[in-house]
Amino acid sequence: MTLPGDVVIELEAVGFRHVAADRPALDRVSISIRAGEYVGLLGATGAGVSTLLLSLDGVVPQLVRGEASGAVSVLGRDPRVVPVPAWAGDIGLVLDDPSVASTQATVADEVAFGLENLGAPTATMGLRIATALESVGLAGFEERSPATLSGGELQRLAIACALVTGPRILVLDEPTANLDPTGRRAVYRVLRRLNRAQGVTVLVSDQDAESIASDATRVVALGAGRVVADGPPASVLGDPTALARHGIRPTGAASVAAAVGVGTPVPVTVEAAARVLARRSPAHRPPVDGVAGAAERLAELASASALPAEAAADGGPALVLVRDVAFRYPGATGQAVAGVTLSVMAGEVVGVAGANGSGKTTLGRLVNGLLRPSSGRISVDGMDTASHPVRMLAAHVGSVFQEPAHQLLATTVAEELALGPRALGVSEARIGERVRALAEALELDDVLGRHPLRLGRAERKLVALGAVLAMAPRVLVLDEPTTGADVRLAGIVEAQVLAAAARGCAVLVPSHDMAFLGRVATRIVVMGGGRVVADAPTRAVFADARLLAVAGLEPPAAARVALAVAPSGPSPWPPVSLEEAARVLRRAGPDDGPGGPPGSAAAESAW
Amino acid sequence: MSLPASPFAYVPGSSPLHRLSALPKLVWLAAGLVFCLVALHPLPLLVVLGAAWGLAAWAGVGGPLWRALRVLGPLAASIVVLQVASPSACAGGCVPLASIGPVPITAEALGRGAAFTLRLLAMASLALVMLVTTRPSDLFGALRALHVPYQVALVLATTMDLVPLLQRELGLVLDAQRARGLRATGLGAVVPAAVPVFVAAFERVGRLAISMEARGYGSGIPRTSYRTAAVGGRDRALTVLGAAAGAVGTVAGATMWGTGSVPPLAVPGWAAVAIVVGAAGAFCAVMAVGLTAVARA
Repeated sequence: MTLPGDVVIELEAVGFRHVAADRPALDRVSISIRAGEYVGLLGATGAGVSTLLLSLDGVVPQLVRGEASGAVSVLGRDPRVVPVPAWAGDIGLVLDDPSVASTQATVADEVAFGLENLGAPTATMGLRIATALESVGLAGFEERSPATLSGGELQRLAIACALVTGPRILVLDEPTANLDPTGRRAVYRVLRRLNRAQGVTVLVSDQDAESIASDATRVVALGAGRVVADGPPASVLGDPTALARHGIRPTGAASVAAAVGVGTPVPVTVEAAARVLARRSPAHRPPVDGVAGAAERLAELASASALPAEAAADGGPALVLVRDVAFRYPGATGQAVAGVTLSVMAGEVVGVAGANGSGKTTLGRLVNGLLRPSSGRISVDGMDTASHPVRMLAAHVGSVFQEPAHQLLATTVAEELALGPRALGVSEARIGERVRALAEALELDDVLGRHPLRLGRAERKLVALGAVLAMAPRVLVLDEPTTGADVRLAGIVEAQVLAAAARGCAVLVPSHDMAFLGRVATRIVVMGGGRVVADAPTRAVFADARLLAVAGLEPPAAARVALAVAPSGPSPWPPVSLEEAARVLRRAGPDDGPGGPPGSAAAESAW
Repeated sequence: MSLPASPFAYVPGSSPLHRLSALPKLVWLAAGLVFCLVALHPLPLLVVLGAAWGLAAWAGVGGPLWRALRVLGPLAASIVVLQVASPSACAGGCVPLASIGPVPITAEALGRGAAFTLRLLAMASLALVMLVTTRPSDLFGALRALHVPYQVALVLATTMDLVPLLQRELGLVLDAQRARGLRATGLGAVVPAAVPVFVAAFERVGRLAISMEARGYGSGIPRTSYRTAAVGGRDRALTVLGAAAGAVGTVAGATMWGTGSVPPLAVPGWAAVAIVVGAAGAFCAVMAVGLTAVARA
């Protein structure tokens, strides 16, 4: 039995090098963690966060092989010696993709698995399963099949599975990477309750620091395998410039505050940032008639979306035209999408937002011709998708899929980039040029000779994007292009999307990443239940709190901070990106604030 | 995104067959399968097939069974064609009914073909009715009760999960590659697509192993079971009865219908031609549908 405050995890100069890796994943990491702490771990792709977390119950190095050094002690035992299964009663582990963990026919059997393995008496199982499910908000789900659960529910089920054996430590490696905002919030609510009410020690990693900023009691940041910051969230996350140096995305609120010129440590949550900024600029204290302001915004929004979609863009031809399209998967009871009408002009980037299962991915697969509408018409670059084979459409519409491994098939990255143009009959000399240019733009120079499937998921996604761009399509469909991406990778994707639009491409981006959509999308199509519930300029969508709540979304921190400072403000309101937020908030406030010059370094590299 | 379920997947229900515990079901299934193997005559096989369908209708799983047999039936029927085409089909004194070109259709070949096809369908139907009315976890509990090692039972579980998973994965890979404008038709597409499918499968299995061990799988502690506590007296009686039925059925099947040769099937010439052509046609149709589904271009 551990008491609150006892050291439960002790790492001393821990190093680890994966088999065949050229540099260590962990490099002399020393941390000690006490019972009852809630530790958020941040780090860019490859910084060693996963390796660190998996070292705690022996998965590294027992199942993931490599060369280990230093000393690890968890609850007084050595995870390198004690077999992985023997930790199940003390440490619960949750990985990023909940769907792989499920092997059983029902939720109850799934949760029972851990108890059965540890030889728990059958008579006690029912109650323990019910308790675990209740603590993650899945009471009554016992007889459901895991296959019928949403992503957020599946991940909460995974937490219940980890919890049921009564561990005092919960380790979660990017548990919300594949979830929509509603699913994310539900998972973090559960973690917070477990930590605060039941005293469970929580270690959780995330590429997005928002939830960690508000819930964690401590933040550990890793850079290239080393601890680069360790302390309370307010101090670690309060220095966005330092985090950005290590490729860690600060919270949106911190970035806004830094860009406006608040001194370090900057406020890290939306609420704190809004408080500080409102103090700095008294003119922007929320007006009392906040409700009237909201009504005005709705009216503005209604008039904006009443415009025909074609008129929304500045005159370019419509490269994607979707007219009253419905689609039903074979054997499915309901329609996956219905009554969908939208268009994307040349040079336009249109985001598609909505909860998991709202039809975003289906819409993308209809536009690239993989699915043919059950009714209605889709034309892409002037070609009707129903009457042209997908292979012919591929020269016109390039798609990056949610799972990039599916579309990679060459044995080296360089070959992968050359494959598409070669199929189109482009000359070898031109192909060479394109590959070189793409490798530079996507920062893939160092991995050109590697097998694409040996790269991490976010890097695979870049290779897939490069392979598609190499074919110079006029339409791009990029499904969740920033999933799991750190600041650097997300920045590359952003630059490529904007560059493609500048060349006259029409870009459709189904994504949960509202900060990304705020930066790249001119318009956002909000989907719910397979229908378009809104199609409006990005700003109008971010301003419509009710619409977003109904669709299970929330605007990015830049807009949330600004809206919290003032429900309405000088046009354009609310700001859709960090730079815009910094500009309008600075302009609006007394620009002689004591914060000094705006933290432009953070503003450039941060989200 | 909703995808069609695997034909082997458990179909939830509350019929007596669903509620019956897995151990007697397994024993009765084994008895049925052995009987089908020893009985050569088509009549008892037809009875078993009918019984399997009766059970399926009773348990409300006729739909999944029908979907599976729609594919399996024509494949099994191809045996009729093979039997007819086989040159060694006749041990002298065969009754020719008709001929398709130079190939004669004999009553003996038709009889054997019909019996083989029935046997296959009867066995598959029995096994499917059992599979779709039994929770995988119960089935593994039953396998464990029969002293099948836990690892073997688990491999069975994950394999059954893995087949539809690999199918789905292959479909996604082929889609993604077609969307890149790469030639994705026929076997030429399936072979390179296998690489990402297997890489994904290996990654998945690796992560599954991590997740399972982290949940105590392989702890060395004797496993307990959440579901199989329900093996009561009735189940035990049914299990013993099933074993006895299996023994009696085997002996009866072997003595009554298991000796001699398969009876010939004497039908009018036109019917013989229709059976053979129909079987060949159904087989080709299923293969064509299957292949186009694999590589739709």
